[in-house]
Amino acid sequence: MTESSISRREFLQRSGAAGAVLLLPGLLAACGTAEEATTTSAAGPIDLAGSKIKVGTYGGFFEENFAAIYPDFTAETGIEVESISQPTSEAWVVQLEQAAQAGAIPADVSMLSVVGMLRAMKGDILAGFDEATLPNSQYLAPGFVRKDDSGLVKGVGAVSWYITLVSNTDRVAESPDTWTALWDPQWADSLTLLSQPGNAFLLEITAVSFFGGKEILATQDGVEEVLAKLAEVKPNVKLWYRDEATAQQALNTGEVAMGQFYHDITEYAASQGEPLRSVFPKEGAILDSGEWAITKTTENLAACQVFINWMCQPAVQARLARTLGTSPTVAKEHMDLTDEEYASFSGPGPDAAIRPDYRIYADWEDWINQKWTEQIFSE
Amino acid sequence: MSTDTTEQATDTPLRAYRVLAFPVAVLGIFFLAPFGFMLATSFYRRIEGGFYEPAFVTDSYERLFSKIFLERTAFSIQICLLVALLVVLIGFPFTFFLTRMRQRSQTVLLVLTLSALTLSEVIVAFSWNVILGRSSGLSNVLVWLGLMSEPKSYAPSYLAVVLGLMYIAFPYCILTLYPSLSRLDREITEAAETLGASPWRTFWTVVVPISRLTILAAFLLVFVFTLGSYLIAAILGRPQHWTLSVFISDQATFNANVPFAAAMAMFLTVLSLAIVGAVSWLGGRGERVS
Repeated sequence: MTESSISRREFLQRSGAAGAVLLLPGLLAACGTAEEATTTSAAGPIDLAGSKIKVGTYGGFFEENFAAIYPDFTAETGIEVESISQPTSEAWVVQLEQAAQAGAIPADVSMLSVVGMLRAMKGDILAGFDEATLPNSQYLAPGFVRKDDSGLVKGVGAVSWYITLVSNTDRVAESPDTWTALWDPQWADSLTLLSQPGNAFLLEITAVSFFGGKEILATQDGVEEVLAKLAEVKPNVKLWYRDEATAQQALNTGEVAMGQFYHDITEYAASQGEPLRSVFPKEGAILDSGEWAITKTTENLAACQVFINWMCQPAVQARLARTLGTSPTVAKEHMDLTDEEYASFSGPGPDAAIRPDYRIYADWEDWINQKWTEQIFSE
Repeated sequence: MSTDTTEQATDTPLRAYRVLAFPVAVLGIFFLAPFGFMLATSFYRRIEGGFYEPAFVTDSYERLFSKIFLERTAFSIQICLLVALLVVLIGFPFTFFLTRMRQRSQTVLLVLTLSALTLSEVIVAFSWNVILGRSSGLSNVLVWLGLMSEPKSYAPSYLAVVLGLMYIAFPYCILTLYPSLSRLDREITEAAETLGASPWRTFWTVVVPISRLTILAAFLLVFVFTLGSYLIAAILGRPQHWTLSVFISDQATFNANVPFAAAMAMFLTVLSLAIVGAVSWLGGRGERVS
């Protein structure tokens, strides 16, 4: 990889757009010193040094690793970041909405999953902004800048993550490499799966594993057929988990033998000595993403924009990938990651992954929820 | 009704009502107002994939009467009645014999029992998870003693939910029973024993019958308290052991369906009030008949 030997600054200079984007105040803020941390508003440049924003990411290892990066951002821009540990997006969006109604701001910037983003946009609790304030968005892979109908940016790709087949190495000598193993009677009462349809994506896993693809999820009849197949997995499930801490504890201690879990956290935990392994199933791992979103009630929109822009830098994304094992939202060619490094956090890559069918969770949310409760949570 | 009010009004000086004004106002603001807001929210319109908006629709109540949620309600009531029964069965003799101990022993045991109140429900649930788990739980001790061939996991399960609920409810049961039992006239039990009854016979034929209303109060308190607990069931139970409270929490926090969560909460409140009313009425009627 030729990129591996060049610095971020050199890279910017070599790229064709570098000259133009360096003129943009947002990038100046991102690359400059504390004194240079400025951005523009209708009234002219604003000095952001000394301002403070609260940034929410998922708690645990995830948040700890993000929090370790923020001091560098503060050193470059003068903007202080208070790291907030947030629950899973589905729950966090509800808290944000209620806090916004009450006039409180639990976080200026939050990381939301796509399902969470769609709800937050529909509920109009996010600030929208012009993409011109986000020069580093040019490095993002396609599809990682989410805009509303009026063309304002609402979500910016933060990191992606894979949900893979994770097993406890003490209990499982050789891990299966297929999602269909979840249905195998040999795993009776020993699996852990996510309990919420909107973040488990078990409908997609079942559809791809047994119905030849996600096409069957296009109709409600198809979804019911898939749910019936998924219901066959119930005797094998010991723990339906809501938050990853519960599942991680159960996997670490061997209370459960195997299950669907996050690849990045598993790799990190394994590097810390936990008896865990993550396998990308042959049908494809689930690929979901977190997007940076700014709470509408923030008093520091400009600082939030500078933060998001800073996090979009290829060097920052590569650093996150190396420390946390997350899959970058920046296109591969912009980063200095080796093929081995890339494979360690992306497996066979995004093309081989199962992308969630987000539309069904937004359009048929309550219907799916009701059917899920009836078929999966009944006796 | 009006006669009662008039009599009370003439008997009670106006000053007494002024004293009542503050607690009534506090209760109104911090209990009735949120309750009213919850009632209103239960009729709001759900925006699928979003949040909700003010309206007057009965969609949430209609969904409430689907088979699955009625099953969940029946299960919640059944498990909470069982827990209340078990807790009172253990708690009543425990408290009675506690009140018969020397003052110093009483204090030590009471402090130990009530210290469980300092633990959060999360800690209690995870602790029971560990105790009943296969990796570090009680079954490892049994394996070590040679009584079992390999460790087994007993959580999540129905038994785990019952044990967890009993654990968190036990101190409240003691708190309700202790004042009444410690004031119980010793001459009554002494009279029974003088006539030749054993302590157990005295307990069952004298103490239990005269403490019927206290037992009823403790039973109802434990029932209502456990009905509202959701973490124990969520952590220690499988989906078929989740109480209605777990589904209320899931709807509000994960699905942003606050109207449906509010409707379920209203339903649970009305149902528990009805059960409390029915049990109290039956208990009170029994008292008058006897």
